[in-house]
Amino acid sequence: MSTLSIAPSPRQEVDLLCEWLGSVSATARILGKDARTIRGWMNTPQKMQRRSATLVHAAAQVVDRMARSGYDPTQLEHVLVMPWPALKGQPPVELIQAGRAHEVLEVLPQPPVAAAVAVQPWRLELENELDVSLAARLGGEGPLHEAFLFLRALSDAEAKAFGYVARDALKGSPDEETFDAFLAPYWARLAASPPDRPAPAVIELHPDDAGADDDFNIDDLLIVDGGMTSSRLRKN
Amino acid sequence: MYRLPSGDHLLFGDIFKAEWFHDAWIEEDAVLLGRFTARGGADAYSSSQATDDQTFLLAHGRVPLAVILLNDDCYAETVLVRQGAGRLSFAPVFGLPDKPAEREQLLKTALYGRLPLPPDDLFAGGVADLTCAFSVKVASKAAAGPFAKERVLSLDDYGCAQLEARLGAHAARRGPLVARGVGTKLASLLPDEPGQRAKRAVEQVLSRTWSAEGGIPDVIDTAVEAGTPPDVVLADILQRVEAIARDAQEAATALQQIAAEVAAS
Repeated sequence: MSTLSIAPSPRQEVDLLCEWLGSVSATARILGKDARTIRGWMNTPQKMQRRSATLVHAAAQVVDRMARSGYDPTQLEHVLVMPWPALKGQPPVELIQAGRAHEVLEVLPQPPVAAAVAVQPWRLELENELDVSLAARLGGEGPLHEAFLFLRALSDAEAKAFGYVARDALKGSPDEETFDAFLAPYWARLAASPPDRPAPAVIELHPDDAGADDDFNIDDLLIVDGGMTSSRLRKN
Repeated sequence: MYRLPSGDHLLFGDIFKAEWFHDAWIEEDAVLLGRFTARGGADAYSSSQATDDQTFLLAHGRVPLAVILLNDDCYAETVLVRQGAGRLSFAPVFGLPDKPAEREQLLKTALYGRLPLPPDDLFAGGVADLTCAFSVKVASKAAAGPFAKERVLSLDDYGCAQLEARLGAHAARRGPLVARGVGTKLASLLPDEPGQRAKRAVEQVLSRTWSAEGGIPDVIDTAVEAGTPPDVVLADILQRVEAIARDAQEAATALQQIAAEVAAS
């Protein structure tokens, strides 16, 4: 189960909600939107309005906390629409849609592992580099970070899947070496399938290639006394 | 023009193909780089990692069709076999364009810095760009083996003579290609018929001296190595010097006559 990294984009949060909740339709139900609206956000995230992005972010925070707090990932939608005693009988989905997701977060337990790892600078740095690299690989925005250059060797679907798996691996890695070991097979994949070598270059025509003389053959000048011009170059 | 390579020694004009050959050059963004191990174990290079004992540099490059050796046979042997250190000079060979008119134009190019390599049963054809010559460092005698293995073709005597002419013209503005060029220019200064005679005279004397400049040192060097009797060596040299004198005298006579004709007209 994937979890949120720092500063995910609204589009990434929509993707994660769909993954957590199992479908676009389930995500639409939790957000109180039509499934076509959700697909529209996925296709053209830049058109998502700020209010919608805020709603998606709030829902993603709640579901992220639930996923990391031990809730059954297959039952998240069901749990969200049920009344919660801790919320005075209100279902979380109503509070999320009403802009009161913070009330839901207040009653959810803090995931101890996540709280502990959140302050690790190397993890924060890698999460950021992962986001940058995925955006570069999938969205064509900027260069890949050196830590994730092997994304070049993955297909779009593989790169997307790697993003989910890598975020989980980052959360679960106690140190950098553990995460490096997780990356090793991906580097091996790149080494096993290096990018294709570019085709040989073709020479470009120069304005002077035409020459002053249409036939610049010098064969008659190379033949002297029945032999080629001789030099040390022809010793062998 | 071409022949299949034979023997272990590399020769002037040998043609190579290998993945590590690139037409490389630097631009204003050139910067020293240092190698380091990136996260996950991959090799990476960064200017921030540059150290005094590393020689990596950010350069630009493209993939040539092949490369052609520009050093003479003896120098290549010295670098690869005797010393196991030094640099060899190559020119990248690029493919011919698809358009027939452009191909034809390039195969007859008059540019000093380009050697046309016509298509043949042994080779698809291309153009060696002498203006893009680059060097390859040879770090040890063990490098000789891989070089020989990556050689795909040699130039025959005719091909070598063509390469010599282009290289001499490009590097020092000398040789038969230059003779043809300046002969044509001289003819353009004169009436048609005397102009053609003057062109022939200049081309004759320049191509003869070009031949002797290469041939006489070769005769002497070879004689020293082979222990050739002195009378044989001297006879060979004398024959070539007399040829220079004969051609020079003929050219002088022709030019004197042409000068008189032009003055009288």
